[in-house]
Order: sequence, then structure tokens, then C-alpha cells
Amino acid sequence: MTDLLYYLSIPLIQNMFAATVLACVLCGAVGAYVVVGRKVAVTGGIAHTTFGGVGFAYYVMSVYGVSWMSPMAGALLFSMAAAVAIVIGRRTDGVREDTVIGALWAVGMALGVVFMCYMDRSVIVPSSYESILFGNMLLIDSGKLAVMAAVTAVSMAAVLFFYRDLRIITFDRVHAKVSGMNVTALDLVLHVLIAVTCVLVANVVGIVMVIALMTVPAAMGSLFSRGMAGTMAIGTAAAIALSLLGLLLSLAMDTPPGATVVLVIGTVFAAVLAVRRLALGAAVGE
Amino acid sequence: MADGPLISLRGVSAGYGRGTVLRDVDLDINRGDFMAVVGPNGGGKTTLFRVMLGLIVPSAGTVEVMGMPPREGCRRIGYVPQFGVFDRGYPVYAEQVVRMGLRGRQGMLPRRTREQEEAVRRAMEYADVTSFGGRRVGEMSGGQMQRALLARALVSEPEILLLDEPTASLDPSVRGEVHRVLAKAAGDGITVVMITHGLEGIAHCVNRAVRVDGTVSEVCPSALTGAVCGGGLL
Repeated sequence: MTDLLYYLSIPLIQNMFAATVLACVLCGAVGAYVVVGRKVAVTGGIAHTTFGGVGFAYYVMSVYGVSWMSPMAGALLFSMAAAVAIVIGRRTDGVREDTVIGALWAVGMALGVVFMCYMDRSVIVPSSYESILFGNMLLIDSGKLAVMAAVTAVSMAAVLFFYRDLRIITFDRVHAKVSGMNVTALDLVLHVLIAVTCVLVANVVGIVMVIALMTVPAAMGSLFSRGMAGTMAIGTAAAIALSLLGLLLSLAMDTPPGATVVLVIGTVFAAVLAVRRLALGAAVGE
Repeated sequence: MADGPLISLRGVSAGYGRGTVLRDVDLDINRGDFMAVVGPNGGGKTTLFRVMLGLIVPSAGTVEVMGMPPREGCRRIGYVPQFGVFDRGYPVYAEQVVRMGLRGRQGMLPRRTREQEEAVRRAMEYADVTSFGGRRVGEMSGGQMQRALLARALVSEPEILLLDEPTASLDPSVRGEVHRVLAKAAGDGITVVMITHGLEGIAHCVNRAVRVDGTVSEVCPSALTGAVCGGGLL
């Protein structure tokens, strides 16, 4: 217990908790659209494309000395480009959305590896592949936290502004189109929001495990809520509570924080599904 | 415009990619029509609707909806898609579904006005949705869901209703609920165009029928019910 209190007094650990809460707020809101709009594969594709952005950032920072670039900026750049590519791909005759997603997923990862291969390691020492892919929350300094806070604030404003419209296009996009809504523009908004959320969440649990935080809490929200706002609220609360629990457990057991958070979320989700199944079975007299 | 057809197709060919589903279609839909669209699966019934709604650009021919290109004119159409395309787990309830029908008319910054609230209330009453307005999509029966979709289409006070198999996959006992709303809409002067596989329960309202099988041909509505085609309907 004393150890735990000591850890919690360290600024980097406090940053880790603050970053987790920020990512979870966005996860609960955007994740609800990911779940109900069946955008899980899109989320996976965009999340993995961010690896290319991280590699690109290291490359231009080290080789060309681009001072304003950072791994997070590179990830945002690539994830947004992937979001736009998916929306354009969807509108292209003869191209299936999942094909575009698969291509972006693999090409993004490959670009990351190649960029990091050609970067100048005598100028910048990059994070390890392990840190980027599976998360290293100890790398979140106060500058990065401020950027995450700003990105979360802007994204939440967009979620609130487009709340009804995004609900309409994810429920019935054909009707939305027929009634005169600009479905392509709204698609772009939704995919860019997913992209931004992926980058924030990747800072917490790493690129590979983004999908868990983006989908499972929101899925729990949809189980217990009648409407979209409730799905978002419950999803956000679940994401924050389970992620903080995961972080505390990781400190107590000295396990990797990102992986611990995902395991906690996965375990609780499985338990919720099992209890719900039993309860429903009891209700119908099985 | 008042005397012309509400929807007019001239020499229309349309399909997907390189494939053509409909060839050289001429069709006028006039005010007061209650049209049944019949034909085999894959014959182009839904494609015909998609052309009229501006969702597909025809490879040949012209389409006008109320004298306008379909993408503009379709805002005066109330469209009810096939009921099976919906995710029944979506967290939205009936009243919210109905309200969605107003969004296309509200501009960038939607605000709830008294008129719009009144329109939602009227549409819900019209389609008999009020009693289950707070019910989630997954909690509604097929007939209730279809009536909520009808209310969504009616809330913007359209001149035409296009319905894609509104009673498919519904029990015969609940088809009547949907048919009653359609009969009421037709009685109130709304033009109804409905893809269907049978006229049971609604034959008395249908005054035109077309068969779609690559092209469109007018048929006698009475023939679809097995009755002898009498005079006056076509």
C-alpha cells in the first residue's frame, strides 16, 4: 500500500492516470459510434496505420530536423489520412471497404518499419517497437498531456455538435442520404474522430490494443442503456473505472500497464456477458 | 407541375458497375396513384426505387421528381426501406427514429421548434406509434418497427411514399397494422408506391401496378389478386 501511494506521488505516474482518463472520455463517446456503427475493423485499420506515422515522424525529425514534428503528430497525420482514404475507398466503385482497411492496416505497419529503418538513430533514439505497439505510459510528459487534453476537448466538442447527425448516419445512412443530409461529410467527421481517438488511446495501451478500449466499454454501455447518450455515458464510466483499476493493478503487480488494462476490461466484459446470459436465461425460464 | 407526373422516367437504363439491371424504362407516377411494384427477385424493383431516389445515376435516360433532379426532388419523398436492414441492437427508441425524419430539413444548427414537435406528435399518432414511442428498436415487434419507419417517412409531410416491401417478413396478423396506415395516407392524398410480393389485405387501395423484370410493364392490379381484371383500374 505504501509503495502504491509512493508511485501515485510521482508526476509521470500522475500523467499516466490523467492521460488514461482523457483517452477514456473520448473512447466512451466515439467508441459508442464504433460499436453501433460496426466500425471495429475501421478502428483496427486506422490504429495500425498510426505506426507508419510514428515512423515517419522519427524519420523527418532525425533526417530533416523538422522540429515541430513529434511521434504523436505523425500518428495524427497518418491516422487522419487513413480515415480519409477509407471514406474515399467506400465511395469508389468495385472497391470493398474491408479491402481498403486491410491494405491500410498492413501498409501503415510496413511504412513504420521502413521509416524507422532509415531514420538517423545518432540524432534521435526512438521508442522501442514494444513501447509503440503495446504502450508505454511512462513516456507521457506534461507537454504530451497538454496536447492530449486539447485534442480531447476539440474532439468532444465535435462529438456534441454532430451527436444527432452521426446517430442518424450510423442507424440508416440511406435514409439520411435521401432526406438530404451530406452523408459523405458526416462520414469524414466520424472517421476523423475515430482516427484522433485511436492516437490518444494508442498512447495509453499501445497501437495493437487500441481496439479493446475503443469497443469493449462502449459495448458494455450499449448492453445497459436504452439510448445513445446512455451508451456513451456508461461506456465512458466503464472505460475510466476499468482502466484506472488496471493501472492500479499494474503498479501493484509490476505488470505492463497497457496489457493489464486490456486484460481487466476483457475479463469484466466476459463476466458481464456471462451474468447477463444467466439472467436472461432465468428470465425466460431456461 | 400540378398536373404533370410526380415522378417521371424516360428511357432510363441503370445498374451497378458494368451490369445493367433496368433497360429503357418509361414510367410516370401521378398524384393519387397507389402503385404496387411487383416482379421476381433480382428483377430491378429496388434498383427502380434507387433511381427515383437519386441513389443511382442512370446510365441512360432522364429522371424527374416533381420536375427536379432526383437528388433534390427526393426530399419530398418519404422513403421506407426494407425492415430487415436494421440493426435491432441499435440504442435508439421509436420516438427518436421518427424525429430523424426531420433532420434533412433543419440545416446546420438544428433547433427544436414548436412546429417540429407538433409534426413529430402528429406523425406518431398517424402511424399509431405514440403508445410505444419510448421503446427501443430491439424491443419493438416487426409491425411496430415498420410503423415507426412509416412515421419517420411521414413526419416531413411528403407528397409521395416509397416503400420497399413494407410487410415482408411480417406475420399476416400484423400486416394489417401497416396496411391501415398506408390506406389512411392514400386517403389523405399521399401518392404511394410500394414494392410487394402480394396484395393481400391492401388490394382495395391499389389502383395501379407495374411488373419489374429488367424493364417495367403495367399490369392489371386485379390480376395480381387472382381476380378478373375489371374496367377502370388501368
